[in-house]
Amino acid sequence: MKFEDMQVIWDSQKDQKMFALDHDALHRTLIKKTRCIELGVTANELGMIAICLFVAAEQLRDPLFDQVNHYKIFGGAVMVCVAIWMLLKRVARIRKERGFDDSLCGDLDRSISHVEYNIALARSFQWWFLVPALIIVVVKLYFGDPEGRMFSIATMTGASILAMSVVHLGLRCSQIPQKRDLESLRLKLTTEQ
Amino acid sequence: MNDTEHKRIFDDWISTHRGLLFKVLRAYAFNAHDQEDLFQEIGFQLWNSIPKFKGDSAVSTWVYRVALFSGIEWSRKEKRHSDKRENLDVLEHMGGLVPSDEDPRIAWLYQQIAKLEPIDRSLMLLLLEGLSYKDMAQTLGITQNNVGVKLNRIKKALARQSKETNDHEI
Repeated sequence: MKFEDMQVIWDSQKDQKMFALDHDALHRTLIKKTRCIELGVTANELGMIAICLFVAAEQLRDPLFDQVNHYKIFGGAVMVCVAIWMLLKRVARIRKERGFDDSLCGDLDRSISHVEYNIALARSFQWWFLVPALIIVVVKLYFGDPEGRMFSIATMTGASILAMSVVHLGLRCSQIPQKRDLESLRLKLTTEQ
Repeated sequence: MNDTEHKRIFDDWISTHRGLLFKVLRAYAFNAHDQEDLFQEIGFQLWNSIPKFKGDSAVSTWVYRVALFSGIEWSRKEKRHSDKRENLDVLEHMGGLVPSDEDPRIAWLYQQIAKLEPIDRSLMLLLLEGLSYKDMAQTLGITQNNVGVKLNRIKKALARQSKETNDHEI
């Protein structure tokens, strides 16, 4: 069959009866889905920012309301810096994703950029979260009450290993394959073959 | 843009381009549940694309791009989608998305398109819809030369597929 024959078959659909649509149900579904997805997309970033701010508030509570405690001020300041850094990264990501071309290729680039951002964040997790958190704990252990020090070290080590494992599992099972798929699609679209 | 205006534009786009969406649905999803799922995904992407639409391109081109991207992305995640499916009955008669009295040659043509890679399916749909190479290049974000090269290859593949199909199947 020639392509021209296929075109004739295709054009015959113009007279075909179209499916019915429940607009109200569609609106309800879309609003619900938009809220869910927005929450999912921002939960990771905003969740981490919230955790940083919570830890910072926890650290700064005593120095502000009770007595000056320098290691706690230091810890609080570190976590506030991490929260600000994350917020700036988020703003930069949103700005970058707005700049892509309005085309299928641009859509793929935007998706790739988003996944790359998540991968970079996951790969550097130990530097922007674990190390600052560990510094706070180590400083606290050094200056703080020696009682229960071993328990704190064990908890800290266990929590760090667990956090790193979860982040790396997400990288290996979700983000890296997702990036590979998207790049493969982009290559198929842009390669002249 | 307020909610009422947003809904009005969305309803207008969906109603005007229902035929286009129908074709994308059939090219990328092959059963009623998947078509429902993909329709929701396309609707979601269209809904969110409304504030970004500046009128630089025709609405149909914009809707096509959003629908095709959703189709390609949906195909990529197809396995995941089949595990987490939610039937919300947005399309009132999903069993009837494909009319019972449809010309069997149309179903055959969709089968041939379905055999193509997701990216190639998008090009084939644009070609069959009669878009110019320039419009296709703009919609896809690739060069006109690339569009030409790809379409030549796709047409050859389709011709080969159709030869392999027995006449009684068409």
